[in-house]
Amino acid sequence: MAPSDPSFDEIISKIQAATDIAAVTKTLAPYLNNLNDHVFAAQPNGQADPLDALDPATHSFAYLYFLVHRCKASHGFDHALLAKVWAFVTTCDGEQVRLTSQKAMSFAEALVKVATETHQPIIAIKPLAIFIQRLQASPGQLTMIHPLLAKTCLLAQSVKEILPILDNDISDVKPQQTHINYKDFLLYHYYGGMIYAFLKNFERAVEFFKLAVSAPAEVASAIQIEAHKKYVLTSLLQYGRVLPLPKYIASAVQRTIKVQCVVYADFATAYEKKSNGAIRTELEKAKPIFVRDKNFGLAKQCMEALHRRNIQELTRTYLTLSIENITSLIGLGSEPDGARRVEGIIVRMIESGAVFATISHEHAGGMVSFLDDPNQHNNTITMDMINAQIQRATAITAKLSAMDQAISSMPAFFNKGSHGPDHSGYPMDESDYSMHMGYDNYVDEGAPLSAIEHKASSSSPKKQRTESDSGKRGRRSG
Amino acid sequence: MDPRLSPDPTSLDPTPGHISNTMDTSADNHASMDSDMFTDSQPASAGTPSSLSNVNLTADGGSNAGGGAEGNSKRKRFVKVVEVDAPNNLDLDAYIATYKGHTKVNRLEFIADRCPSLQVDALKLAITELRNTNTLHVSRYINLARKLNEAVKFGAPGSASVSSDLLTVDKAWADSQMLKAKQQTDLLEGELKNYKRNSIKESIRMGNIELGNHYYACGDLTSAHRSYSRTRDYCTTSKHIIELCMNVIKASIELGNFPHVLTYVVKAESTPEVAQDKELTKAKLKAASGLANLDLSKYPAAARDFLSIGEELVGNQYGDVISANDIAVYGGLCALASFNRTELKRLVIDNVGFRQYLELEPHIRDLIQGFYNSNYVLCLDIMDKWKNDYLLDLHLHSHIEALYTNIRKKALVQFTSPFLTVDLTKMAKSFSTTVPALEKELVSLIIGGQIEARIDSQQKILWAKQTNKRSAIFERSTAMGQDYEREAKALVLRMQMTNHGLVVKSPPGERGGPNDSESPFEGPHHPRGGRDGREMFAGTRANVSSFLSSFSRDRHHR
Repeated sequence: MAPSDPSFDEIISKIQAATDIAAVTKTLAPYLNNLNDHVFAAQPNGQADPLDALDPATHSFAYLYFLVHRCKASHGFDHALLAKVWAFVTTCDGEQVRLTSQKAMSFAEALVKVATETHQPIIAIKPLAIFIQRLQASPGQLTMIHPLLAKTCLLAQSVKEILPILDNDISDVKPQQTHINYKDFLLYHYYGGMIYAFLKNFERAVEFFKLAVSAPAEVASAIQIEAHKKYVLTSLLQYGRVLPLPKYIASAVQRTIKVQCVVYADFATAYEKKSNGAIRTELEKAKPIFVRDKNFGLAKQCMEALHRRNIQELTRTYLTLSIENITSLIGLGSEPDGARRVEGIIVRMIESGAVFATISHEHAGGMVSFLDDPNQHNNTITMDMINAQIQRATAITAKLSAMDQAISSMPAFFNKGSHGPDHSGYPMDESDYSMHMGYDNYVDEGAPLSAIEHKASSSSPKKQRTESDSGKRGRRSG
Repeated sequence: MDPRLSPDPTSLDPTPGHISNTMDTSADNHASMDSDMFTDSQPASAGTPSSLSNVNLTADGGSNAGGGAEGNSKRKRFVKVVEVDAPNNLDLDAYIATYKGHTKVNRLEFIADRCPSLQVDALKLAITELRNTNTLHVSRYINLARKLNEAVKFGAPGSASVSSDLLTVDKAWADSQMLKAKQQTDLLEGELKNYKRNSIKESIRMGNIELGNHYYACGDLTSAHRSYSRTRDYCTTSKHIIELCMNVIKASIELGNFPHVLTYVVKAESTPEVAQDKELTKAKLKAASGLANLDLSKYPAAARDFLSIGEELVGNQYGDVISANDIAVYGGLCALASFNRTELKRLVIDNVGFRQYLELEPHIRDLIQGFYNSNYVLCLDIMDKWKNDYLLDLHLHSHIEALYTNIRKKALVQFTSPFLTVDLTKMAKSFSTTVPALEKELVSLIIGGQIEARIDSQQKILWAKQTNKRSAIFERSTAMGQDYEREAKALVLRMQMTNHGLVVKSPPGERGGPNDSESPFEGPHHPRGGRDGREMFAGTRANVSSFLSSFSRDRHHR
């Protein structure tokens, strides 16, 4: 210990002096940042161990400084340290920790390192899952820990702890609070999608990959390209076709996808046409690339999903059908053992509720009777579901409208509106006006115009627009 | 009774180009014209002029089967020449007597190429026709004579009755005709030049028309078309415009340039009518546009055109393009293939004008009546009997399969619609087919959404599907709600990301600008400041607005 370095006791007293968040930011943060790393890494040497002396709940900020170095220094399974870690993550004050998100990140990384060294990933996963919840300012906030946790879970194939976090959609990104960058966002959704795909929850997987692909971008990121590849395959698995990406997807990404994912696009086109032969040849052709991208497993699952999809199609056309016929209709007729496989597929589909059917073996070979969906939608479950959905939709719409209002009253937006009427991206058209009226009033492009003009003429940049509009309707001044 | 339909590569349509080495330039012209017809019709069907978009839209909306069949029929025309053993009902002399002008010879030649048993007769008639009309299209005469010679050499039926003066090419006559044509061309061109020098509008127009007529007579259709088109600049009255349109339509039909026909039909129809021949002109235009729509496989539009011709053309007034019998056949088949029962009753059976044509072709009338009265055995029987004849029709041949398939589908749909359950064995009997084949047809119809039913393949019964609309609505609305929520959430997130500068950028080194400041304590509303920030706001706001309005629009319209 160099003589200029303060002793633990000094530091601890300093820390304990900073009682509220303002003091922590103003005095404690610069003080601790000026100290050398080895101060924190030093052994207590007879003095009181700061980790014992400090309370993780009230002094989370400083506690983290020590804990990081302890974790970094630790090798192997250290029960005492883990108890400290556990105490910290369960009780720490998120607001204080957010002030030093860099350190929080190092802490998480160190913990993961310990976990990998001891081959017990749960050591890191469980505390981190809780840590994230302490760290978030709001339930849907993305933190810098998210991608790390997702990656760790994926590598450990232990997803139970992260599922509640994944199921909670990200709705809040604040880099100034959580020190994240775009990579964190992309990686989290990429890993999250993979976890869902691993669990065969392809609906969510598609959603996660879509979020990654459609993230705003000036240039395409490699993560987005990989996400798109998986997006194509999971989308085929879940829906039988590639869902269109949102319109706002960055053009740079779109261009890159077109060039980089030709094989995937070809496979998807073949798949959407539902012809067994074509898909199989396309799969053979694409196999090296799928294997290289480590997507071959998904592709193989696509092939199985194809049979299921075909059987589902048959329920639309047939009431009863022999297994033999099904086998030939879905194109497994030429394969040995096809009928048995088909029966297995149907049984699994009945179990999972994908089709409603019964199989009878009164006749040779077995006969499948397809039934209608027994859910008549006349029960309270449906009612509750619809109600809940309406509420969610109203809430999100209100949020959107509020955001729209907020943006339209920002000085930056306002300035732009007043001096650029001939700009091509000029956003004030009829639909905007109707926004101010509440979009439920929206009837037709021209209908509510007089009312809108009336309303809109109160603000100056819009007035200019409306005048030209009332002069000659239909010719856009923009 | 069944026709022998064999795709026979050796019987591929020999174009006049085969003998062009012995012939002058007009033979080449003819050859190139023929190939033009094929190449033109393909891309042109995609690029129909925008002025016709209305017609096209209704056509597309009306028939979904027509669209699918289009590719097929087009391809068939290239690859497969259907050879017909013998017509079932065709009386060649009576049939061809209803035509005049080029189409007469064209049709005869078409029949000769397709039907060996009529080959000699058709060629004989064609050559006689050319000689009698003193044609200037000499290459065509020589070509036909050559074909006749070949046919006789191979001993085609009826060869014995061919007189020798038809077999030998009348060299002297041909030469004189060629000379005449050449002189006439020179004369007319000279005159036209003269008119142009004097720049008298009306004379230039007349000169161009005369030259066009002459080219047309010589069989040089592209030049004729060009000359006719040139009169456009000199048209002063609406009568002139009508004349221009009719001339161009005439040439275009023969060239097979049907999209062009449609353009000029619209042009002519939008011209204020002149008093004389008003109804006749209208009827001719309808017939032309019907032909064009038929060629483009837009059967509903074609049917409507043919049905609205009125009684003006009963006496084969438009014989150089289409006969009254053709109108009955084309119109009847297209209507059956595209209309439902009520439309059939309203537009066909109650159509006084069209009834006149149907009298000429009683079997089409019976067919329509039978279809309307659900007597499908009779219908299928009639269709079968006349199929060969239609395969020998210049305009109809490549569409027969598609039309027949459509009619059959319509019949199947109509048959099943009133019943809750249908016994497949009985149904197969009334469609004179087997149960497995019927099952296949029904499956394709069910998948296509034309029949709402399901098949019990064990007991061979078709069950009408009881759709629970309430459930369907519930399912759809929940799905839509989910979509809405998901999209809206994604949008909110995206706005936040752009506002906070979470945008994928190239690594700072490549950009060379210090604009990637991502300091965690940055002010929330001015992430990057300056112009960029403003544009970003505008962009996100436009996103939100369009999202909300388009979603609300969806809600109103669904």
